[in-house]
Amino acid sequence: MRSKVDSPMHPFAATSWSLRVRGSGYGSVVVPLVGALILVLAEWRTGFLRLTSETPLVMLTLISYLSGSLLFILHLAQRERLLERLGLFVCSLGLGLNLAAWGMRWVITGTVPLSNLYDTALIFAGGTTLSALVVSTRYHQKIIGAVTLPIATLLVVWAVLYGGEVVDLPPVLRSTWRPIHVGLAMSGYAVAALSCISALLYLLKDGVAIEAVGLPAMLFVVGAYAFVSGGTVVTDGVFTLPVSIHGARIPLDATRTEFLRATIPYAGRIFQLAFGLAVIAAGAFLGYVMVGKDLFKRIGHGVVRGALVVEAVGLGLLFYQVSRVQSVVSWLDPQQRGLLSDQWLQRVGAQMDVQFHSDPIAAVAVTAACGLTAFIAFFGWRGDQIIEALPSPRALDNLTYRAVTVAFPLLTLMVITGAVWANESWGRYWGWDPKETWALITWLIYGAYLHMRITHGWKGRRSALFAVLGFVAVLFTYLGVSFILPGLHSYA
Amino acid sequence: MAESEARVTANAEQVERSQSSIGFIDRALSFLSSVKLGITLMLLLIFFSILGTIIIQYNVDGFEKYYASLTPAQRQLYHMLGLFDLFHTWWFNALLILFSLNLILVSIDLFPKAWRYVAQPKLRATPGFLRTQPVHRSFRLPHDDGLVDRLTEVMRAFRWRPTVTINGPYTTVFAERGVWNRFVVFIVHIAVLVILAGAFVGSRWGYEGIMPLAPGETANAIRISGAPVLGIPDRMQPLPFTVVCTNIRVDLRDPDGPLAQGNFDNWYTDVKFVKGDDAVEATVYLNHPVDYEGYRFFQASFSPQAGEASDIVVEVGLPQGGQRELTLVRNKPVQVDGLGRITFVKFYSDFGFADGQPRSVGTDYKRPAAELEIVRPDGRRQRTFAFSPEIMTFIRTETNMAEKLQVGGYSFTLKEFTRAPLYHVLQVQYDPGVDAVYFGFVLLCVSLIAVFVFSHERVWAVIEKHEDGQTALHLAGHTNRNPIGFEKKFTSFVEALAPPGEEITSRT
Repeated sequence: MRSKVDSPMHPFAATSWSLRVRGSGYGSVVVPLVGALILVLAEWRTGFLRLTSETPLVMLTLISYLSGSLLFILHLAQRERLLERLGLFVCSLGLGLNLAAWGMRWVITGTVPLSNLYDTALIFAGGTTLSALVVSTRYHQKIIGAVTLPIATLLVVWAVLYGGEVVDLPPVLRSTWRPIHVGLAMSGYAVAALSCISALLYLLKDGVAIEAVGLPAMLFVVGAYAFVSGGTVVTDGVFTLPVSIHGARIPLDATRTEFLRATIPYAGRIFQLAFGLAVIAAGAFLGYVMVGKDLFKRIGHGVVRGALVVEAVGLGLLFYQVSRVQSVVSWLDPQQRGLLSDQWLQRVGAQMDVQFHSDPIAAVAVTAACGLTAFIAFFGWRGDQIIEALPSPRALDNLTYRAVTVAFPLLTLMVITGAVWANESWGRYWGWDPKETWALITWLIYGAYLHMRITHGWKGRRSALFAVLGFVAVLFTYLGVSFILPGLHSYA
Repeated sequence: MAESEARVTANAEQVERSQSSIGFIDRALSFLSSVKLGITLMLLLIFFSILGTIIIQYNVDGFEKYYASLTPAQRQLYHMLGLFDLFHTWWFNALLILFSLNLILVSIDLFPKAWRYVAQPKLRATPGFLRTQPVHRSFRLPHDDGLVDRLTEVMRAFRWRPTVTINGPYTTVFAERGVWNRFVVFIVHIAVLVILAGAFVGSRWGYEGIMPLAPGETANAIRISGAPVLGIPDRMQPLPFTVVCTNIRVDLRDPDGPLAQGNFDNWYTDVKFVKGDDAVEATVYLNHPVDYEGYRFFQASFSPQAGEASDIVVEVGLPQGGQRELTLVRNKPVQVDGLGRITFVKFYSDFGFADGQPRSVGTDYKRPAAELEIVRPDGRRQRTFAFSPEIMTFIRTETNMAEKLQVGGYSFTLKEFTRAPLYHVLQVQYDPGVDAVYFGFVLLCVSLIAVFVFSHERVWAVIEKHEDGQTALHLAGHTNRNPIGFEKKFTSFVEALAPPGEEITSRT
């Protein structure tokens, strides 16, 4: 005789238990995993797809992630369950395509695709989507999938921007430790991305105003536009990209500090406008956070929406022009052009090419700025509904902690395998190389986060802030160190 | 009277003073052993590590350019504070030592607490105690003698090990699992300390340097590079043994391509370690270091100039007429019947003379020649040369060597050779702490996974018999990790138990 026991516990508790009873619900995770595996194995054994490049799959992934993000956004606006289900389906499809694309690259190149930023961005995106789907399913909180999907989308955009040229690894990097080290790094990063998202949601749910999150976001946008193209966007309204011939940039001096650059028409002015709008939005958010006047809030969100449109137009125009360029020579800066002889220009002018990814910092900065603006605009538009729909702060805090407890051992293993690899190849396990140091910084931030939970008074917002900082450090280790700081890892 | 009073006061003061000094030590110790200090130290380490990547360190590529871009004032300031070699300054090391001390003291401070907590579980619980637990529920049910058995059975099914204790009106069934999880944290801390200790030993008593080796060369010291800009000179560190380079070889991606970085697939240095009568041969190549006497040799780089050969093909003209081809690897003797043991010992890429001695006067394989050593069957050692056919005219007209080119009627012509750089550079590491570091790595990996994958769980059931024939059943539980997951488990525990009665409270 069983008495009825109600479970008044936690919103998650009942569903998860019933889930385990039925033993299903992970279809959205398992099906794409198995599907991608079968597809890749079949292509490997039979070559039936006759693929020479995984690019079509990458593009399909991007389309799936983008439309998945859109469906989730529409769901939040319309509260239509069909949209949510469709969103989940497309997201799951995207995961399958993403993993298949990465696997195909393995088949096509014949080595584990963990060699450059393109490879790693692809698997980083896949890992992020995978962990978001697992969490969504396990906790029946599709909102976490919805909010994480844009990060995966941005990562695939970066992969597309870098371009999937097959690189020849320097012989010294050919080691069994390489796929282990990089694989661990990417899995750790993917889970760290999830912990960052859930920490951000915790902050919002806990009552941190979206404007307070918007302020640093807009400051990043301001910084990004001030930084790209050597600062000329802000000062002159000019956006330039390096010119390349057969993939190599053209130095203008012996020390290789200055390179030949092409001015992309209109893009600079549009980005200048976006910069101005971001400054106004940041100011308005600052005003709202300090004074609390509703007017500031309204101005801030209005301007962010405007900035999003401007940035999207600017990016679109930039891509359109770069892909359709007829004569790069006509885009050259008159001053730089003066340094070159006319004969030389006539001879090589036709071979000149402009690629977005020849300036990876600009590519990452401009797309990340657009993504962040979209994030803030989205929360300004439907923030209250999203926050309403979020799980309790305690559940989000727990999710962040759980994600960090997975990410931290993975990052530890990453640092250790990196150290062992370095010791086996170069004879030193630690050399304070910038990438190593930043990996250690990330490790220490997460270490501090974990210890904060022991000490009273450092819980809650402060620890959530650390989880966000941890992921910022992850991103800087992944991208910033390679592009901005010199050192051993500067190839990838 | 007054005197004794004064003495008493003085005594009291003394006691107070000694107490305050104890208080001070106590306070200092409790400060040093606080987790808060640990977090603060981590934040400081984070700050200085970031600083150390913003200010480029002297051993990082691109330092010269960065240094040149600084103002003299910046240079002086950074130099004074040691910011160009931040990670090896005394204050950064002091920070690391303080961090290690904090780790040790925190662990010493927390270990007895963890031990007491684990060794003395609450076996005689009361309903009041259970209500203080993060998850707890109570039921009223009709009296049932089999309840204790049912509780232990279900607890066992959940892999909790139960103990039954009767204490007055209360019967406590206490169960737990994963006690060890409370102690793994200490192993994590020990692992970090082992790594830091190993790193300290390595940086204090270890060193690393380079050893350029040309074929045939002998070395017994390594060069430890300093920083010329900062006025730190290079120094030579003698080794307790001698390294003889017997050959250097390269694998090229395009065998006819240039001997340049992009075309190298791998490069090998054949060495012989000699210590007294002991000689060990080994080959160092990419990603394949060689250990000898605690020293580790890595393939690091190579001369940008070509000009050597690793092996040659020689056409041997036989005294009875006819010829045969021989492939000779440098310093590897080959037996030829009638002639004796022949060894390729030296290569000249641009054969000429300097001070009357045969020398290579250039590096571009203009007049290639190989020097051969032959040990005749009667034991006589003879040296001769193999020239390529194109330069035989030069040899005949410009030198008086032509008559020396025959050994016992045999003549030698250089047909082919495999190019190699002038020298290879080995990186040499001596690190007495590396084993400790590796041990710490393994310990850290295992313990971190064990900490976060498992947890310590405790559950209590208190049966309280009432006189009216009813029984109150109180259930509670506690875990050190993943409370939400535990709540779910606890709920399913209650469901599996299915107490046949009504619930009194249902709060968490």
